[in-house]
Order: sequence, then C-alpha cells, then structure tokens
Amino acid sequence: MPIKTPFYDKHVELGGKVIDFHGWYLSMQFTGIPDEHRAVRESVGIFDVSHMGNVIIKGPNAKEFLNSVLTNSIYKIDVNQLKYCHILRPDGSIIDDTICARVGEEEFYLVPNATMIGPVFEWYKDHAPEGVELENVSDKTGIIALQGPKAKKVLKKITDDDTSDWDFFQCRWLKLNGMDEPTLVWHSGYTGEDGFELMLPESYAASIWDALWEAGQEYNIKAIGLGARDTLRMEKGFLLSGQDFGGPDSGPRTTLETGGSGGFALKMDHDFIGKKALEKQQEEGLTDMFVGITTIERGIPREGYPILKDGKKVGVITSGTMVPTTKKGWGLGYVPIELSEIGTELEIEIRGKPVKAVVAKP
Amino acid sequence: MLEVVGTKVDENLKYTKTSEWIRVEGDVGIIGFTDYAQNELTDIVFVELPEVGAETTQNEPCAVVESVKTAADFYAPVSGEVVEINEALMDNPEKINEDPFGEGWVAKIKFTDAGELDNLLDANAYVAHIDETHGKH
Repeated sequence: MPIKTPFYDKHVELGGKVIDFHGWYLSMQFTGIPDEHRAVRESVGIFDVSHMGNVIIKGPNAKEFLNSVLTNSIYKIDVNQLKYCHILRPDGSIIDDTICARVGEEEFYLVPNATMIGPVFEWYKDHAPEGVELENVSDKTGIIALQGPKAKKVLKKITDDDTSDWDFFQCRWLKLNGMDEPTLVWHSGYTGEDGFELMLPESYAASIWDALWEAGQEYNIKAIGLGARDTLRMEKGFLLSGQDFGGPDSGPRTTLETGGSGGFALKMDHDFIGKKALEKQQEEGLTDMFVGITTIERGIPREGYPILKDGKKVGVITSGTMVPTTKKGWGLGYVPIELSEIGTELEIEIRGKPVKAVVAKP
Repeated sequence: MLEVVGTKVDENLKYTKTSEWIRVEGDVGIIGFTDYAQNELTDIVFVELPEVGAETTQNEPCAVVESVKTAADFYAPVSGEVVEINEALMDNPEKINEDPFGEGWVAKIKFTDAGELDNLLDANAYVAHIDETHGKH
C-alpha cells in the first residue's frame, strides 16, 4: 500500500487526481497543470512534498563529514544557511542532489529525493566517522512547499515571529498558527519563484495546511500537483534526480556535465568523494553538457526523444514538456559540448520527424 | 445523455474501446474524443492532425493529442479517407476539453466499409466498458 502523507485528506477534499507516486499517494493535478503553473508564477501555490526525505546529521564531526561527501563548501556554511549540493560516487557520477541546511552549531538537516532516501541514508552511514549521529525522520515529517510571489505574504499571516530581512537560502525556526514549539522553515523551493518549505511534525501538519489555505484565499491560492511541480522546475532548468541524472535516458552524469548549476552546486575548494574524478574530467575536457532546448516549429519534446544535428543523433531529451505559460515546447538534455552554446540550432525527433529547435537559456 | 465516471456519453453516437466517437452522416463519419477521454487526458495543449486525403485504418492511430504531461494516440474508428480536419484545434486544442462532442471534433472520414460500424460499441456498451476498465491501467 502506498503511504498516505499527513495531507492525504487535503488531496481528496480538493479533488486531486491521486496517484501512487513511487509509493506515496500524491495528486498529479488539482485544477489542471496550466492553471496551477500560472498560479505559482503569478501569485501563490501550496504543495505537499512530504515524499521528500528528512535526514538529521549532527555531532562534533558532522560539518567536516558533510564537507567530505557533498560538492558544495559545507566548511564555510553559517548557521541557518542552506546550500544546494550533489552527492557523488568516487567516479564523479551523481547519486542524488540535496539541500543541506545548517540548523545548529553541530546540527544539519538534509532533504534527499523521495526515491533516494534509502540509498542516500545508507551512503551517509557507510561514510560517517565517529562523532557523527544520523537520523532519518522522513516518516515523521510532513513538508509543505509554499511557492510564488505572494508566498511570503501568506506565510506572514500565520506567524507572529519575525519574517523580515530573510534572504533566500536561509532558514528560520518559526511558531506557526499557535504551535507550542517553533518548526523549521526554509526560504527555498524548486520553482524558481520566491517561496518557503516548511518541515512540519506530523501532528501539526494538516492544521498548518488549513491555516495557509485560509490565509492564501485573498491571493487565490491554488493546490499544486506533481504535474505542475515538474513543469515549473523544467522551465527553470532544475535537475530531476533519476531522470536528468541517473535515469534511463540520461545515464550516469557528473556535476560538471550538468553544468554544476552555474557553480551553485559545486565548489572545488575542498576535498570530497568524487572530486578527483571531476578534476580528471576537467583536464581531459568535457564532452557533453546539459542544456535547455526550445522548439521553433510545432512540437513538444518528451523524455527519450533523440536530439539531432543535421539529421544525425547527437543527444537525448531527459525532460520535456510544453511550458504552460509561454506555450512553447521545452526540453532539457545532454548535447556535445560544441553544440551547447545558446542559440545553437538543433532538431528534436518527434514521432520520427525532425522538428527545428534551438539551445536556449532556461 | 448517459454518464460514466462523471463524464457524459451521447446516446446517438458509436464508440471505440479506446474512447473515440463517430457520428455517421451518410457515408461520412465525424470523429472525436469522448468526454471521458478528454477528462483522463486533462488539459490538451497540442494536436497533430492527419492531412486531408490521408487514409485511415480502423483501430490504427490517425492523430496525436498531447496534454502538458503526455502524448496520446487518437485511433480511427473506421477505415477510409480523411475529407476534412478541424483546423481550429491547431490554435485552440482546448476545444477538445471544452466541447468534446461538438466543437472539439477531430476529423471527418469518408468510410470505405459501412460494415465496420458493426465493430463499434453503442453508448450503453461503451458505458459498460469504461465502468469495467476505469482505473485499471
């Protein structure tokens, strides 16, 4: 039986098309993907992302340990700061991507992807030295993502705590809607909009959803399903674990091949598992690069479609859709590095026919 | 109108198991997606229509529709020749969602063998078929 998140009743009440998503009951959509996508770009949306993992790593050696397994410079992280990181195998290929938050002097909070919770937790455990404690609290935590330009206004309405002067990728402990204890709130998201991710103890989770839902009414808040979550992240070029890396079409990929999210994911200023392989790849020269591609002729790129140059296959689409707001065909995928410049003309093979497309900035 | 899984089924049409309908007018059939089909597909954002003059074969794909999430084939209810296509769908594919049995029609086919119509389901049989298969794939 798939797992019911603490928000399961909300999915049903709000008419979500509930599916079994990798072992969790979640909605593919509520009012429709285009409608939901637009709501997040223009106002505010609320997402149940409880399928994502919650891992606490603490102890006197926690910082040093995380610095040695994550691609970003954890040795420089401040308390209440978040960093986006990759976790690599020794050969440089990405196991998973994650956000790492420093929530105390010696305490860190990480969110692995749903399907990777088990493998990633084992990986940490296998590599953790003495003086590092690990705890997987995924099953006890509900996560709400509140995303969109009005997200902060909505959040502010359900807390008396200070939400001012709060930079993106910083977290705070806030008492929400009359909670006895403060809970962890990240200023972050997976949509490219302003927004927050709320880590909620199971017992409070549903009441916080209700409070946000009510507070969001004046901004016409929408519930957002997995479909729009995917189109929102694709439009911004954000990677999806198990699809854009480590997936059937992408194959194993290194942080360098993904572009390192423009340096956002990768700092070569510290030693970490996989670094030597990246240095070697850098020396030998990258062959492939992750790019965004927009169609010029009619057609929608989809996962698995071949990318062509002058009729010859040069790559494959790993994520594709029609962006609901721009109504343009949009894909992500890997191409040879010499074809990765913005403006490079390519084709995408759609049902056997080449459709003109161009490399574009997300 | 009949109903199945909260969607409408027009008694006067014939249906395929893959959720296309056909309205017979002489030797021409107007074809489209059922209300059930459009509801399952969700917001349709793209159509690829056959060309006028193209030949169709019963139960073979003759058009493609896509939602934001996925692409789906449209199967011809009858064999024949495409005599007209609903070009309005090119710019407004959402008409399939809004009015599946009306403005959302897909094409008109001059069929070659009226006997093929006997292979199709009537409205009651279609309702029974959907009731049986809904949510099972």
